[in-house]
Amino acid sequence: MYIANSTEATRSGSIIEYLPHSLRRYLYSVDLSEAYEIHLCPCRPLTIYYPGERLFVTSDGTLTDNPYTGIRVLPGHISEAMEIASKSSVYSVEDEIRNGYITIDGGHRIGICGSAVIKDGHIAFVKDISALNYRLAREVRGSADSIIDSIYNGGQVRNTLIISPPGAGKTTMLRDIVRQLSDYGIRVCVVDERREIAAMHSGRTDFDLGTSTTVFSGAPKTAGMLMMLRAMSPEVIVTDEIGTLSDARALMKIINSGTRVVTSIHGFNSEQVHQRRDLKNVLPYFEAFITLSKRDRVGSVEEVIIR
Amino acid sequence: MRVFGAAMILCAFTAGGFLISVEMRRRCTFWERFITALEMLKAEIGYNGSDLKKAFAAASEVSGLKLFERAADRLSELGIDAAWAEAVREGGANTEDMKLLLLLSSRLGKTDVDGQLKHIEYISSLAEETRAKAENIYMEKGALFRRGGILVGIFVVLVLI
Repeated sequence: MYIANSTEATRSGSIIEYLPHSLRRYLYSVDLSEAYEIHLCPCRPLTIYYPGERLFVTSDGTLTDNPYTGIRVLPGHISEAMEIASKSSVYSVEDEIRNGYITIDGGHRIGICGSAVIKDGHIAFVKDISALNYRLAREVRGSADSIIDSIYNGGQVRNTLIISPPGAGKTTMLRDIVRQLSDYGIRVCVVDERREIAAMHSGRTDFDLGTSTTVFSGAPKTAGMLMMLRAMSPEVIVTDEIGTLSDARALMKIINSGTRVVTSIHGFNSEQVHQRRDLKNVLPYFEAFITLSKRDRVGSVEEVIIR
Repeated sequence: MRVFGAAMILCAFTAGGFLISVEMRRRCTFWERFITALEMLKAEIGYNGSDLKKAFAAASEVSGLKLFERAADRLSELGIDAAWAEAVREGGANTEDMKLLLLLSSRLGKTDVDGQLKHIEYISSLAEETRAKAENIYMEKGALFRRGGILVGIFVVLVLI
């Protein structure tokens, strides 16, 4: 059965626009509203991940759990997808490729797997792309409703650490925290190193980040936070995925300046995070620890600890 | 009637000679503008990191060449190779010029910034050689075709009379 084209599926920001032309028609009647990842791997079936299940797209545009009936991704699809994602301009996204991803319109991120090109001990580029992972961004207004009072209380924002394993919704949560704090009239500055929170393109974002938010996109967190502290006089700085010693030092400088911080870290719970030696100096500055998981659904709040 | 006929023949040959001369001049102007467009491409890619669509739009605006605008319009639909090839074919260049123009897309958009700039410089040097050759041809033969057209026209009129 041939699936007719869908104009709805080709509206701006749709992930389907970033897939190879010959694969798009198989997805026009697939419901992607709950999907969180699409995998393209040569010689394997086109795979879509939903919470709790992995499904494959068939040649008649339906989903199946049988990988042998799924349509096969070809090597040409990968190079075409890369050309689409980079807008035929690999050089313009080489910084992102070096970090293993390309951020596209709509805040979605395409993870890249291939062969690293090493120069001076660092990854200079990724060539011979062997797989693409489309991580679908989602704006969920109200996802922070259950925790916002733990973060913003009595007119004060607490220094907050969101602890979460990968894929548990911390970026979606951070986005809603930014919106809510901003709508309270707090001057929020987002330091968006990986362009995931705000997904800025051409100076604008597709997400609602509130009325008092500024975004510094693409800069390394450490330098970005210090620049924003000097340049934008934020009341709160929000950033994603801290984890290095230099991140910790920058956070301490920010917090000591009187600016509040809301950030996230990969981890399973507060106890595990407190065992990290590289963060031991900065953790005492945090007043709220919020742990997320995918146990019931993405973005489930497991634990809130207030000091 | 004879005079009218003679005038028509003379005008036709004169116009033919002028058209060939104008075409030679147009070719020189095209390559001058193309080199200007390449300079803008270099600036957009090297300094702004602009993607090809924006870089092509800027190159088109600065040089006045529709070639880049046409390619920019079809870029997201066809990819760089097909979009550029289509734009070049629609431009009506001769075979030799088309070969050089098509060379531009061979590496455009496919490497890092340094690679892009080196490639554009290489194409620019080839374009400059072609422009210089075209200029020489025009200088040597342009006037010849203009005057030749008039003379051939007069000759034909005299023969027919």
